[in-house]
Parts: sequence; structure tokens; C-alpha cells
Amino acid sequence: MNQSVTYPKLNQFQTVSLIVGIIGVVLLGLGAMLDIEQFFRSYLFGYLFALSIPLGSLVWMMIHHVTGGGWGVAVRRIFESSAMTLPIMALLFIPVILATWGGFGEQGLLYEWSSPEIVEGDPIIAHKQLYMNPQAFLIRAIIYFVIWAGLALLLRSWSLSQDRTGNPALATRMRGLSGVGIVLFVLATTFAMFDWGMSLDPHWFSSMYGVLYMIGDGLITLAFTVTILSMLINHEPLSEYVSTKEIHDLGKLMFGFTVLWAYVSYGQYIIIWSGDVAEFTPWYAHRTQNGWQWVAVTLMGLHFFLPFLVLLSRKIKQNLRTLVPIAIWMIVMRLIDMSWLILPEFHESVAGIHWMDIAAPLGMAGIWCAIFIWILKSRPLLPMNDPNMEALILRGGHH
Amino acid sequence: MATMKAQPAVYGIMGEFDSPEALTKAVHRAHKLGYRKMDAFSPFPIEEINETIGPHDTGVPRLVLIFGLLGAAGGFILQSIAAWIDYPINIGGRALNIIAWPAFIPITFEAGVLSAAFAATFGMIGLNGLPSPYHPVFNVPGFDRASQDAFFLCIEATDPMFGGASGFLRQAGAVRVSVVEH
Repeated sequence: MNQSVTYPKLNQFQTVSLIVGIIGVVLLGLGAMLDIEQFFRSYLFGYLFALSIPLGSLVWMMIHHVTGGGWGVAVRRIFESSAMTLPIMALLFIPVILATWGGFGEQGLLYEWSSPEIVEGDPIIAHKQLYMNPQAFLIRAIIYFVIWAGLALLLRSWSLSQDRTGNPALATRMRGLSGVGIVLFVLATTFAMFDWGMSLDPHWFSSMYGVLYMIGDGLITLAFTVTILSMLINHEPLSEYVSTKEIHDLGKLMFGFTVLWAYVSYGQYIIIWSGDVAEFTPWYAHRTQNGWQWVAVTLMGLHFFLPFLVLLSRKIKQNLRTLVPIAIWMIVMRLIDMSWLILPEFHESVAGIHWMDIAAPLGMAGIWCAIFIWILKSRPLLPMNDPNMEALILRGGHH
Repeated sequence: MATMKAQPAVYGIMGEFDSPEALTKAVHRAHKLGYRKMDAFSPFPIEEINETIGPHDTGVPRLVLIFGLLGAAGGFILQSIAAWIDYPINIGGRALNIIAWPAFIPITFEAGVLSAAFAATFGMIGLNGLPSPYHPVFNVPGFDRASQDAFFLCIEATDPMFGGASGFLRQAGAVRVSVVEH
């Protein structure tokens, strides 16, 4: 592969990401000295946002290994490079673990269930102690990361050895692992979100919570992938092979996931609304008052109706010039969606959003992007020996 | 039917080709020369031909959108009339006005999907002119081979450039050219 090709837009984006990331992280560090409790809240929020894309990339990659097709092979290296950051994400989770273990003097910094005093005075949380305790939380986190990072590393190494050897058995092996991997991924991610997001309100539970997060992951990953693709497509080798068809397929998936997001979000709401049971309603009660209701309305309009109507058009989905602005829009909407899911646990009112709640996601996502692009550029951008490349080679790219 | 326009004497001119490549080439040339009212027939789908002369604006998407929105609105209004006006019923203390809208969304969604699906199915059938028990192209001898091993291009008489169609098809490499009678 021609190593001399450079990607000016990608390099520019990497520089900007790195600068934003460093500013965000420095601010977050300063914030930690001012208000350690707020620091951890913002850190968790930023972390869950930054984790969306590597997790979404991992599952999209596995879905593509199982189902095949030209769209996935065109962006597989983006998925792989993004999923390859999961070991780094594991290291970045250590502060959350420390917070539950009382590593910063105070116990129960982030999660009420990690404070013995609160547990003692609350029979409901006390009842859940077997599951919600710092030891079990740590062991489960290790299991999640072993599953995620293990899948990412294995699939990446097989994919790279496919580049070198062209051994046809590797495609079969990747497909086999992905079949099992998807099941493991869904289990791990569902429980991870129960642990890390849902248990912020230890009284409340919803079996749909994990799904909600995964659908959001899928959507932001497609949006991010389309954005990165637009920075590569005018250069070798993608310019030769990637055509309108692959872009259209990614656009269609984005459209589908926009609808799926609305379906799942509304599904959880209508079940709890209809049941009207005191155990479940407080979660929505928090999120529909003190200004949070306007965030909810904004999400309905701008995370669903607007992209839904725009993406109905085939022409818009086929053209990166029109698809990329929508993709960037969806990334911003995902951040607002995550704010609505996580931040009401920390701030009664929407006006209570702290500046660290903005610095954390920007800082972590910025640094993450810079690392991701560095991994992406280190290897060929198309898995030329994959059987799925045939469709792209036969057609040739003329976008 | 006094308003009916005078029909041309024939339906069109049909050229028969012996390979998909020959047909594709002829379609591209015809399109380049300015022929528009034409149709190709082959035993299997040929994507390139579809891109050149396939229907680009079928009208079905617009129909689906309109009926989808109408269906959704209908579903919502139907429930509103039933539950707020005709037979207001207190369910678990919920409001008897617009505040209770979340309960109506599943039916609204389903009614929208149902209506859109019907519009897509019947709109497609209707706009294709189906059911059509008679079509002139079947008058061409040997046309039944279009579903086996032969490839056809038919230039219709309504095309402004129809006058030169017969000569064009011969020149484009058709192995046989025949007139399509009504």
C-alpha cells in the first residue's frame, strides 16, 4: 500500500481533536482540585460518552463479519481502529473504580450504593448489596473489558494477518468469532450500563436501559464513521473502490437507527407511563421538570423528527456532502441525549449543569479521537484480501 | 371515448439482441442519441440498464409519505374522539385531555405504517398500470424468450424520434427487428 498518501483533512481533524482534548482534560484536572465530587460526576459522564463510539464500532464490525456486504468492508478499518481503543478505555475506567472503593477519602462519591452509611439507612439498597458493592463492581468491570478488548484485539489481528497472507480461512474464523462475540457483547454492554449508568439511581431499574445505550452507540458510530469516511474518500485507496452505493448503505443504516432510537426511547417511556408505578416513575419525573422537560422535547424534535424527515430523501443519503452535516448533527444530539440520561441524577435542574460536564466529554472524546486517528493511519485503509472486497473491486469507485 | 388522442398505428419497434452486453450497449447508445420512450426486456435484472432508463421518479415515495402522515393523523384523531369526546373514561386517574397523548402513540404509529404500506403496495400496482391482462409487446414473435435467453429493446411509437428507430436498432446490432402491433 502506498504509504506516501496523506490525508490533509484527517490530519487537521486530529490536530484540532488533540487541542480540544488537552484543553478539556486540563480544565477537568483543575476542576478536580476545586470540587472532587463534581469531578467524578463529570468524569463518568464524559467517559460514557467517549465509550459510545468504540463500543458501537466493535458491534458494527462484528455485525458486518457475520452478514458481509460492501458497505462494511469500506469502513472496516475505521471500526477496527476505533474498537482498538478499548484497552485504553479500560485504563481510563480506573478512576471510577477508585471512587467506588473510597480511594479519594470519601465513600459513595459517585454511587450511593458504595457508601456504607447510605446502605445502612436504606433497606432497598441494602437488599441489593449482593450485586451492588465495590468488589462485585470491580470484578464485573474486568469481565466487561476482557470481553470487549479481547474481541477487538483478536478480530484486528486476524484482519491484519488477512492483509499479509490472504488466507481465506481467516474470514471464516472472524465470522465465527463475531457470531459468539455479538451475544457476549450484548450481555456485557447491557450489564455494564446497568452498573455504570442505571445504578446511579439504585432504586430504579429498567431492562431496556442497556438496549437504549447500545442503540445510541450504534447511531453515533455510524455518524462518526460517515464523518471520518468523508475525510478519506478523495484519496487513495478509498477513492478507487468506495462508491455511492456504500455511502447510501451507511445513510440507510443511519436512518434506520434514528427510528430505532425513537422506538426504544419511547418504548421504555410508554411502559413506565402506562404502569404508573411509584418504583419506576421517579426516573422520568426527574427528567421532566426543572428545565429537563425542554431537553426531552428538544430530543424528540431534533434527535428524531428532524433527521427522520431529512433522511427520508434518497439523494441526501447518497451524497457525503449532505450526509456529513447530518452525521455531525447526530453526534451533537447523542451528547444531549446522554446528558438527559445521566446528568439529572446529579443536577435537580438543567441550570445546575456544571462547566466540567462540558469539559469532560469534549476532553475525553478529543483525546480519544486523536488516538483513534493515529491507529487508523498506522495500517492500510482497506482490507484488500477480504472476500467482501470483491463487490467493491468489480464495481470500482466513482462517487 | 371522444377525448381519447389518436393512437399511433403501431405500439413500437422491437429489436432483439443475443447478449446482455449488446442490449446494454444499445440502451446506452439510444439514450445518448435522445430516445426516451423505451423499455428493455431481459431474463434477469441488468443494473446498468436500470440506471439509464429505469424509472427515476416513480411517484410512489410521495404517495407513501402522504398516506403515512394521513394514516397517523387519522389514528390519533380517532382515539382522541373516542377517549376525550365520545366516551371519556378515567383510567388510573390519568388526564382526560391532551396531556394523555402518550397512550395514543402506538396506535398512531401503527395506523401510519399500515396506511403507508397500503399506499406503497397499491400505489405501485396502480402506477404500473397493473393488472394488465394484455400488452402489445407479446405480439412480437419469439418474445416469450425474453424470460429465457433473449434480450429485447422496444422503442415506443410515442417517442418523438420514433421515425429513425428501426434504422437505429439495426445499426445497434439487433439480430432481428420487428414492428410491435397493437
